[in-house]
Amino acid sequence: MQTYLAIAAMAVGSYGLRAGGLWVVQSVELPPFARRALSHSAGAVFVALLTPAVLDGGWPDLAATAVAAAVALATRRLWAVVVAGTLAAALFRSLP
Amino acid sequence: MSDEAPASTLQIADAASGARLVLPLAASSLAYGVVFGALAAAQGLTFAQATTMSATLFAGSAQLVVLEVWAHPPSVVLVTLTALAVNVRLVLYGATLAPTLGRLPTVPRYATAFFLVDETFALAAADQRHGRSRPSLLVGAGLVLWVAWVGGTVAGHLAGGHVADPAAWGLDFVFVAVFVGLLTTLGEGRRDVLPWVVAGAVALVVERLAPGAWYVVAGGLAGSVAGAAQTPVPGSSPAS
Repeated sequence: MQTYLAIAAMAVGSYGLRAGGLWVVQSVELPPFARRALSHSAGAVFVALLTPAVLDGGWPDLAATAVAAAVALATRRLWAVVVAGTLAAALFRSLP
Repeated sequence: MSDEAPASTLQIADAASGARLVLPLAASSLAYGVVFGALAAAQGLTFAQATTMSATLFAGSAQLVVLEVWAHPPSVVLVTLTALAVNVRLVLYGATLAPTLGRLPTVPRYATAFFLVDETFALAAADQRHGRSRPSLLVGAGLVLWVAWVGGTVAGHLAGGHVADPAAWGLDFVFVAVFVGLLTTLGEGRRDVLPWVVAGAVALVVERLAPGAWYVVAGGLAGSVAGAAQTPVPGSSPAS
């Protein structure tokens, strides 16, 4: 029972976050600075998610990230990035 | 844009485009779902509990982090706060995509908000940046990802202990590769350099200083502010 209560609380709270940001922006007139900031939020959040994860993984993860970035820039195909990056990580981590 | 004609509820063609664009990400979401399902089984969650969590929470990183702090019985307050801390970035997603979602009537608008996850957000944000703002893209992509995530959870829980160490296969790196790929779809060149450098630097510092996943929000906010503060359109010729 407690488990389902926890799941329900997490689900309701997460939906509240999803809907809340949308609701605030539509209810309040945002100044131009805030609108410009929001246009940068996507890339900024992803870089913030990635940086510690990559650096904590040491050189194999750094090298695999470089491979993924190179494939991304060369092909612009997400599936190629995922396949190449994951294979590179498995390979580099298996090296002595 | 708000002055565009409102989109009628569901544009099938746009939803199909979203579904197609998200397919490679759905494959990684499926793999991640398998990892989550297997770890959830190892933590003692029943099949029904793990599947319910994936279906209603629909948040890969939050669910994996929550398993780390799981106990029997779980502390409702602790696991909820942990999940919400990882998910705070979803506030930015909803706010950023308000011009796209605002084209829908209220009920479908807030129903579509359920499908805001990293992958769908990146696709819809890129769509919005390119001036198209198709809300149904988000629905199509979100449905495919949801099926992959829940299906992966089901498979992973059934397989249980048979899933070998995911790190040895590089499967945990799928997450990094996905975000690297998403960044290149979002990037627009020089005006992204400053916000991205600031976001990465602030995230690194805050990760060392603060517990949990606050570094994601801190880095994201700092990078966004830096992007807004920089002089507009570097390299464009002055007006006079």
